[in-house]
Amino acid sequence: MQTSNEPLFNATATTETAEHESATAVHHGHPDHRLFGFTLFLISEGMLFVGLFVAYLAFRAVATEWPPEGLPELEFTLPFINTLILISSSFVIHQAEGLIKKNDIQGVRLWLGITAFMGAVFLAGQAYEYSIFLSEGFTLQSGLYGGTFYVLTGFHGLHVLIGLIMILTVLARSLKPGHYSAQKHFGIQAASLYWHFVDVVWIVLFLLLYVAR
Amino acid sequence: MNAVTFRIIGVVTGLAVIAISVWYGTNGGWLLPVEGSTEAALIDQLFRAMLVISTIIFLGVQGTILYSAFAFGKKKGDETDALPEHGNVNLEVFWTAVPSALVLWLSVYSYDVTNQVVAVGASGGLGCSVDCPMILQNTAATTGKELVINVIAQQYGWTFQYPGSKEEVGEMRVPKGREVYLNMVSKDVIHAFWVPQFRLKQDVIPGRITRLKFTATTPGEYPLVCAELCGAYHGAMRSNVFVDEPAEFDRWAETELGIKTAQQTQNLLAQK
Amino acid sequence: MQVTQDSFMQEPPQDWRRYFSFCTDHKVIGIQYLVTSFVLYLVGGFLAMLIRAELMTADADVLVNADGDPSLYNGVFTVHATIMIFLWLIPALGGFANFLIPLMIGAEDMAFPRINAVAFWMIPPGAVILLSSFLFGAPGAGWTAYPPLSLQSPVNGDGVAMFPMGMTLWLVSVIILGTSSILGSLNFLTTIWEMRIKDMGIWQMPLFCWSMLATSIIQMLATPVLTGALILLGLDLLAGTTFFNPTGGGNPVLYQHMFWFYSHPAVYIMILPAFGMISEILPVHARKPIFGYRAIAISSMSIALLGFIVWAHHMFTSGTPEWLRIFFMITSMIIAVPTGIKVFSWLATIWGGKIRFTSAMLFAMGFVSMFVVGGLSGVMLASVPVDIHVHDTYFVVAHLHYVLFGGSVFAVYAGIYHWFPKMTGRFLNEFWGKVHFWLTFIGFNLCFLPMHKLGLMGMPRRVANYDPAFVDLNMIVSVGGFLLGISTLPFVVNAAYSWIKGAKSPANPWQGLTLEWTTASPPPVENFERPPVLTCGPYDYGHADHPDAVVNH
Ligand code: HEA
Ligand code: HEA
Ligand code: CUA
Ligand SMILES: [Cu+2]
Repeated sequence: MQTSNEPLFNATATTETAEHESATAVHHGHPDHRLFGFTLFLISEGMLFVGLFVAYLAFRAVATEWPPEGLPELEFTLPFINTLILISSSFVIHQAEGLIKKNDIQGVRLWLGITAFMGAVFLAGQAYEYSIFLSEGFTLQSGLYGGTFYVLTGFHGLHVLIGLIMILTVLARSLKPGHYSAQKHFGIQAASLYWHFVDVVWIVLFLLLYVAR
Repeated sequence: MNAVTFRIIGVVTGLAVIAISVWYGTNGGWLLPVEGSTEAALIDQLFRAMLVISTIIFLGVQGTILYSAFAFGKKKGDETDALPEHGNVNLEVFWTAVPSALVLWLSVYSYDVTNQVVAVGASGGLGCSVDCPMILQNTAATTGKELVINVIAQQYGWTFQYPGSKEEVGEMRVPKGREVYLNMVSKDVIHAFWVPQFRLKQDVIPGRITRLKFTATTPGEYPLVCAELCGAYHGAMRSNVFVDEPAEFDRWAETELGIKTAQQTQNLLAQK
Repeated sequence: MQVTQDSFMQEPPQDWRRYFSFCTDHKVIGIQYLVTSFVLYLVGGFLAMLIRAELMTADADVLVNADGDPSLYNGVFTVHATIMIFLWLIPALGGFANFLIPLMIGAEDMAFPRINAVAFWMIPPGAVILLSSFLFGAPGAGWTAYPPLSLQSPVNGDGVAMFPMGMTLWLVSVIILGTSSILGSLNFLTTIWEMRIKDMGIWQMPLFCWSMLATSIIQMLATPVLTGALILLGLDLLAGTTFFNPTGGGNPVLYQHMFWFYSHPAVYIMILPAFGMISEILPVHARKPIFGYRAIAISSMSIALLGFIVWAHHMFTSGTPEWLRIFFMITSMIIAVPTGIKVFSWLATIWGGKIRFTSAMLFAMGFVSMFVVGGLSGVMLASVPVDIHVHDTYFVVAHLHYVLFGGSVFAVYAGIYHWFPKMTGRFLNEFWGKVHFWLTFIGFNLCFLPMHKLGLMGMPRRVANYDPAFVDLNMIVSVGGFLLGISTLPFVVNAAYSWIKGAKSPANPWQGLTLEWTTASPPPVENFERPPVLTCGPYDYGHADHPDAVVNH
């Protein structure tokens, strides 16, 4: 990286950036590629879920009885409400992204806070469903039915938790005046993109496990 | 050396390469064990055809490299670059079309042999273990003429069940010229039934039945090798398959297993 | 923990100590990858020497414990392969890419320097975790780790099942190394796609960049599926689930599908960068433009994409249904066409050239020669009836070593001889380079050619003891193997000595035309004094107006 004196560096960088019409934001003096890289990361993370979903479908396709005898049916209403919460929270964080473009930092903090809250409610709903099932003795070890349920919902829940932490970090940073501006708000864009990703994965999961069964 | 002689030499070497390859490919006998089954004959024929093609390509590529090394080495003191040749569309089309044609021919030929040789994939539902009904009654999608044998694999040995006898014996004997149909199940991990002389192999997977069909042609004693890593003594999990004359097989089946296969052999011979 | 770029990088140690620090300079990271992976190659190769020592005799008598149990043999080849793939080839090729990509496209560094350093520093712990498995009974289910064998816990002296520590350590290290590979791919994709200098369009960038683009796409999309498979396998092993355990209704063949969905593309991860390096080296030392630039670039992408729909050619004998075998046979054979385009283009490149027989060129030409042998045996394996006979035999072991050693390792050696002057500012000794080449070439063929016949005649793979009829061939293989082991010694001495005392190298020792040759050897931290300007294409040899090098005004 650059250890030479800053001024020279910035001079050449800005000329270079000017020519580079695509990248607008600048990070450490050269075009900001973090969003491009983060998008690739989400595609890669998506392939992990594709692999797990294919495994679920492979098990489900040959299963004679699903759920196997003695294991509880998946309850529908609570997860359905959870789905509504998660989908709407995607629109909420989208609001925050819109407002930062207008430098409305107050509005951004508000909508980020609401998204975080909705995410927490979603996680609470999942935890509640887990507690019921576990009390009924339906665990990870309950055959393929239990294994696939807990792996899929567990990994998704983990990603929701990571998303929640991202949003709270971005919220904390937004409290520092000037940290985010219309020109530079990668943190918000990334948190929002990640949240949409987690939302899409949940929709697929909800359709497969709770709807198609 | 002008262009004409160059072209003649090129054609001559080309023909020589093809001749050598055909010779080498067609009697690659020293590369393969004895052909012990009808399937082996078919597979060896395909393998030899691939060997011919591969040898032609091999000699072509190695020849070009060696020739270039001798003909196009940098002359002493000549520090200039070679001619700026970036490509040649016709040549590039040629060396895309020819391999494509070769690959097409190879796939069709392989497809044809595959259908004749290995028309039995796996079947039997998941969760079908050793005592699963299908294996016990020796039923299989057979035409009734085949000799159906159950093969049970476990760490680190093979046992066999013949039709009409519950007994698991440690010896596998098959009659020459009669189609044999194997139902195979494993008691623990994945194994693989492989007789190099038959050129056939099929994994034996716990929880399902896998099948293999062959017709032994050359009497003899052949090694039965486990070809899927199954633990510490994988290398020791070997047995033998004896290919007998039909009469000899019937005598063994009756004395050892107490089952009458002689009658089946008679009507089979009658049909031929 | 927002660590500002500058404070973190206050005063990186300038001398050799920077190679042991969390330095974010892509050139330092590239060399860190190359040196670390080469040391691990020697360890993996040492294990191969043990394998060959065992197989010199028909009985299991070397890698056996007190009461003759040869489990250690299974552990040795499992760790041999895991090292060679995840700790030698993938990181070494990543090292070349790290060092060269920014230089070749006129950038100062990778897109994400810190992630770049993090990805490297996952390699040493991954290696330690994998090697420590020998202390607890090494994992013995091959690098493929098929369940249910991989789920069987080892049994101690009096038959009590122990905690499967070896397998657990294998799983953890492969997941770590896989994640490092994913992070690397994100970095390369972003750097190549976004950070080329202004007038270097995708059709003007060097072919090594094309091959890294294709490789990174595979790493990005395929590696996560392996991670998923290993997570499910780990849960079966440690948490009592039954995804792949038939006793609990699990499906062991599903694991094979998930494993090979990654592991075939993984072999193209290991060969595409090698293809890229050969396309860079041949024109420079033959003083002639690469033949058919676009066709080679497109063939890299088509191999990468086709590589995603061929995986079940590793499962022809797993009871795979008929129609599925036919499909995967055809897709696997089609890959011969784009690969053939590359091979023929390389031949056309050296045809009519003015070849300088440097060590780099010898290894590059050796690559083309040996890789074709492996490719042809690959096409034979793609044919179902042939594979039914030779699956899980030494024919496959021969194929994999002809493409992995004759292919990737030959290319890595060629790359080292070619770019060592740029990386260190000093030449490797050419005499010892040629000694290294001929020892390797002879040892390689002596070791792996007889394996074709061993497989065809009936020797299964992964066995510590075999039919005594195969002793003679195995002896030749072992002698060849030991020669290969010995061949690495002159190279190691040459590299260590030359790095310190080798003849000084000018900025452009081979008169190459790609951008890395337009800056100093070794390059300054910011790579280029002034942003470079493209004055000619990467392979414009023989054009009257560019005698040898790009004029860096
Ligand atoms: C660098 C690594 C690498 C590469 C590049 C390849 C390349 C290929 N491989 Fe290989 N392969 C492995 C590494 C690799 N492989 C490994 C490690 C295994 C074993 C894994 C294990 O079980 O442990 C394996 C196993 C393996 C199998 C399974 C064998 C078995 O276990 O039963 C098969 C089957 O189809 C196969 C096929 C192919 C094919 C068709 C190609 C093609 O890409 C090759 C194409 C190249 C050419 C064909 C040569 C050049 C072309 C021409 C000169 C044009 C003209 C040619 C024709 C028209 C034929 N490979
Ligand atoms: C890049 C990949 C790669 C490379 C380079 C190699 C290199 C070698 N391999 Fe390996 N090999 C594989 C990938 C590779 N292998 C894979 C994927 C398998 C399949 C595994 C499985 O079935 O699961 C395999 C399996 C395999 C087998 C089959 C084992 C079995 O099926 O039972 C054999 C047998 O001979 C073998 C031999 C060798 C030899 C002799 C070398 C030689 O080239 C090695 C040369 C030697 C050195 C480079 C080191 C020399 C160093 C010293 C002598 C001193 C230094 C000592 C220390 C530093 C401690 N390999
Ligand atoms: Cu049974 Cu190997
Ligand atoms: Cu493959």
